[in-house]
Parts: sequence; C-alpha cells; structure tokens
Amino acid sequence: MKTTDKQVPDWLVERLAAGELPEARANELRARLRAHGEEYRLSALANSNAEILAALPPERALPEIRRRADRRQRNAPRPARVWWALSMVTAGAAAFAMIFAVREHKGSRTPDRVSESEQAENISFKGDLKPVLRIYRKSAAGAEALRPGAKVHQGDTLQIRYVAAGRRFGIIASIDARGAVTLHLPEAPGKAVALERDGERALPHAYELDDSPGFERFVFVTADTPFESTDVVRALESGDALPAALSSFDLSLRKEKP
Amino acid sequence: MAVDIESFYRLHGPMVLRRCRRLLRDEAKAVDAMHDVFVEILRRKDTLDASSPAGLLLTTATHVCLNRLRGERRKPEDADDEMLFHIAALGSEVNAETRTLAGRILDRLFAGQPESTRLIAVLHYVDRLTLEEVAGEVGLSVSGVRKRLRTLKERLPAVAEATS
Repeated sequence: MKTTDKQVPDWLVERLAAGELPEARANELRARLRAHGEEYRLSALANSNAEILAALPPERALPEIRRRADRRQRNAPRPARVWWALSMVTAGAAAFAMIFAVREHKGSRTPDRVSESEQAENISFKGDLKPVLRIYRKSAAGAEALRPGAKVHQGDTLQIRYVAAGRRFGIIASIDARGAVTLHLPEAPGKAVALERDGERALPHAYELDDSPGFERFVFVTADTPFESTDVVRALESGDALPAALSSFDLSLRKEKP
Repeated sequence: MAVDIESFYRLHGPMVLRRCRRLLRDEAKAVDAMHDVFVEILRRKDTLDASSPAGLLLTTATHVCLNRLRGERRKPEDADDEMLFHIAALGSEVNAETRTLAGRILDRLFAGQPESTRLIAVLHYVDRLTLEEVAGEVGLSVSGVRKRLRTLKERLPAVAEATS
C-alpha cells in the first residue's frame, strides 16, 4: 500500500491543524484527507478544541499548572533555582538596556507598543493572548531561539515567525540603527497581509543581517481591519506613534561586531 | 525561546488532552497528565526549542503518558494498548538493567536516547505512521528509524511478538 493510500494518522492531522508542517507536506496531507473524504477531521478538531476549552478553560487549568510547577520548583535543588533567578535578572537587565537604547535613538515611543520588559514578564505568566514575533537564528545545529536583547552579528540568518493570536491583518518590518526600514511581510510596500490566525507561522524567506551597527528592531503591527505598509514605515522612520487602530509587538536584537 | 504557557494552552491544550486520552484511555488520568505536560514545558522553558509548539507538546505528552503507563497495573484493552504497555516498559527495563552487563550493553545500544526510541516505537506501532512519516517527525533518516525499531525488536522479545 502506498503512503498516499493510507488514512492520515491522528498525530499528523493534529500537526496539520496546528499549521506547523512545511507547505508541501501540508498540501500532501490535505490531498490524502480529501481522497478519503475525511476533510471533516480538521473541522472536528476545531469543534473538539472549543468543547475542551469550554470544559477546561485556561482560567481553571493554568492555576493548576502553575501550582504544580511551583511545587516542583520548591522541591528542585537550590543551585538550579539560583541559576534560574540569575538568568531572569540578566534577561530583564538586557531587555531594559535595549529599551533604553531604542528610546534614545527614536526619541519617542508608540503608545500601544508592548514593551520588551513587559514581554519578558509575559514569557509565561500574564495577560491575554497577544500577537507575538519569534525570531530564530539558523545555525549548524538547527535553529536557536533569540530572546529580546540577544546578541546577533552581521551575516546571521534569521527566521521570523509570528503568532497572530486571532488578529486578521499584519505587517512585519524592522529598522536598524541607521534608520533603514526593511519590510519582511509583505516584502514590498502595499497592503497588510491577511494573517494565518492560529499557530506559529514562519515567513517564507529568512533574513540575513547586514553590517548596520547597534541594533535591529523588529515590529509586528496588527489590526482587525486592512491597513497600509506606508502607515508603519512612516511611523518607524519618524519615531511617531502608530495610528490608534494598530497595535504592535517589538523585539530588538543587539548587533555586535564579529 | 519565549515559552508563553498561556498561549500554548489556549492554542494546543485541547490537542494535548486528546493525545493523553488516546494513550491513557481514562478521562481523569488524561486530564491529570495534560496538566503535567504543561508543567514539564514550564520546567524546561529556558532550554526548549519551541519553534514547533504542537510537535513539542505532542512529544512531551507521549513521554508523560508512557511514564504513567509504566506504573499501571490494568489489563490492556486491545492490541494497541498492549503495545503501549510494552513500549512504556522499555524505559524501566533500560533503567533497571543498567546494573547488569546485559543492561549496560542494552543501554549503549540506545545511545543515550531511549526516550526518542520509545517515541519512534509509539509513532510507528501505535499511531501507525509509516517509517518515512516517523523519520520526518523525529528528524532521523528512514534507515535510522528502521535501525532503532530493529534494535528494539531484537532486544525486547515482547515487542517482536506483539508486532509479528
């Protein structure tokens, strides 16, 4: 029996629904589902998701998860706790330094922007689900996730991914210390892109850092109504606030000389 | 990687529960295991590569459930369930037998990766993924997956019998 004749295993249907499979693989699985008349399995998962979240809402599950995690942490060896605390302090200090640098450079701040220190706090514990950017550096060993304030270098290849968290339209851009704005999504000036609204989605192309010194600040601007990249580029170049209908998530990386 | 556990739960919590239900076949145990899956993610959030959260959570859920099954005393409900028990026991056999020469050889055969071998076995024998599909999921070559399964069957007759 050929693989294409086989029913798609639940595991792969889940991975397909989560939007994490490469496009070619996802298309192949969708074709197999169609061939078996089983496209309903994807909508069945959506229904099941709603049922489970209604029965076990985050408001109930998350406190229990955190309670268990706290209990385990209390029982963990002390040096690990010290290391964890130090790493959080270091991350917080790095984030603070980056915010300071970005503010000095631009001279103003977008009111609706989520600050990096807030993002660092938000790593796991607070707030509603918000759109976020995640940036990975390609390496020989695979992909390294970069935290706000992480050190990067000219020539590093970055993979940008986003979580739309239900927002409908978005633009991803970056600005370097020289004030040069690069559009990543879309890659040319125009309308904001209709976002994949669930799961973490990778941009089609990786981005190689140039020789601009200082920092590279990535911005994910989202809205529920269409908008233009010119709104975003103008605000980034001038340091002015974004239009009120737009909200943004920032992630800045520190560029160091090799 | 910024692991946002709330976002993870909202997006993937139901998927994790479905996975735990499938492997444990008991609603209360599945809900309990689901919580522990997210605890594991929180516990290791500073070292995880969470670029594919759903894959990470499914894998973690499989390991959590296998560890639960290892201590179960119930009778398997069917062939898949029986296979899961055999695979779950694999970890304890590896650990318990490391005190013996044979055990140390067995441990060496798994090259320090008994967890991924158990995952490979579950994906192939229980979830019915083909060798190619398993290879794609765990990032090994097809021949690498085949070799792991062959080693497992050679060393653990119970698995070989159940799959023959």
